[in-house]
Amino acid sequence: MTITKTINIRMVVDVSGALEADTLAGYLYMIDDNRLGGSQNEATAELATAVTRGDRIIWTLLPIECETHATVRAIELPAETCKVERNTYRDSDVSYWVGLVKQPVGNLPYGLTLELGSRTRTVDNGANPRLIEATLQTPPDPTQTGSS
Amino acid sequence: MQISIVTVIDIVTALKEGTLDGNAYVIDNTGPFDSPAGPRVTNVPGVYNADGSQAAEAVLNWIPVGVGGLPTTLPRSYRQLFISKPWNDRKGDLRLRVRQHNKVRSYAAPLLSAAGEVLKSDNVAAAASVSPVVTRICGPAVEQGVLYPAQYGSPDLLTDGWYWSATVDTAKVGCHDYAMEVALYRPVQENGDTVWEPQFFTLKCGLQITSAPGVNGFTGSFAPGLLPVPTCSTVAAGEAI
Repeated sequence: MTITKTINIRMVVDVSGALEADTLAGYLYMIDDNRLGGSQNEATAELATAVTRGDRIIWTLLPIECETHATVRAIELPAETCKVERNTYRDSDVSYWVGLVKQPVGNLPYGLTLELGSRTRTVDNGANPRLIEATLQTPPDPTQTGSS
Repeated sequence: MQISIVTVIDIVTALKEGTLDGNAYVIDNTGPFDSPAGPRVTNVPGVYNADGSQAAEAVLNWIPVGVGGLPTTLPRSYRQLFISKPWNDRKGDLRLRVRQHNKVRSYAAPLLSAAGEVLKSDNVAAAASVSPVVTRICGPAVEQGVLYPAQYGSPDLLTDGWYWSATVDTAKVGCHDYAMEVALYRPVQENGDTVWEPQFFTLKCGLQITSAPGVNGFTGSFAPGLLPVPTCSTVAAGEAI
């Protein structure tokens, strides 16, 4: 499938706040770069990312306190609609997630599990992100010029 | 207390619309995003001792990131990995030329997407991968001695640039405005080459300073007191426990 556009989703998490409250609600901020394409609820844990068939989504996670451990343990989406996989940056143990939208998503909630504080502690409640069908068509992404 | 202020910017849209309004999100670790004082306002809890003296300083750190940039958890030299082959063979295409203070500086390391892919530097959409740089913290809060900002780090675009930090006079309770000046980079054509030029934006922000007496986290007492360590009659003064 030809990638028509790349949409980045940057997640920022207050690790100590989320661990103390045992929820991502109020402590996870999700921001994408497709507001002009119809994305909604920017900078909340209810981000609705507007996508269309052929789009590539890249999720990255940033802890507010850089000395704390935070990584994405799982992103759960039906593979027939959006196939996701975890990748690791070359020569590092820092990971990112990539999704390829294979068919119209409608209004599709997805599961998100974060590892916070340590590799054994996970938090998966309080966040309700979803994919929605893009309302506006934006030009194809011209950045697909190289690969690692 | 160390307070991190992460500013996440949709760089391509900000450059397209010519504003950070609606394209920049100021997030910190002092509470939920929807502060009672409004967005872009950082809560600074000032704490004083029972005798009225200041108990702890608040320190602010500003961290600007692009939505489509590499995670800051990667080593600062990460892009240097891509200088070697096969990228070196096409270095002319991939080398980043950046205008700084009327001079053009070349960086051997290429731009990378959020997935670690090498991008051609003449690509407008590659702007998403050029780190934003905070160039100045200013405004009423600085002029009135509430904030004492200073700049630290390396003046290097590819290592996230300078970073700004400040101490706060938490005795000045109330809401104080300040401005964050940010440089985003856009590609322009110059004599057949692509040069990245800074475009400067200002983001109006605020601090909501509150004051409360310090509380002993172990005892709940307002006085510092002693830690609730059980007495040990068998240990003589000066001996190790």
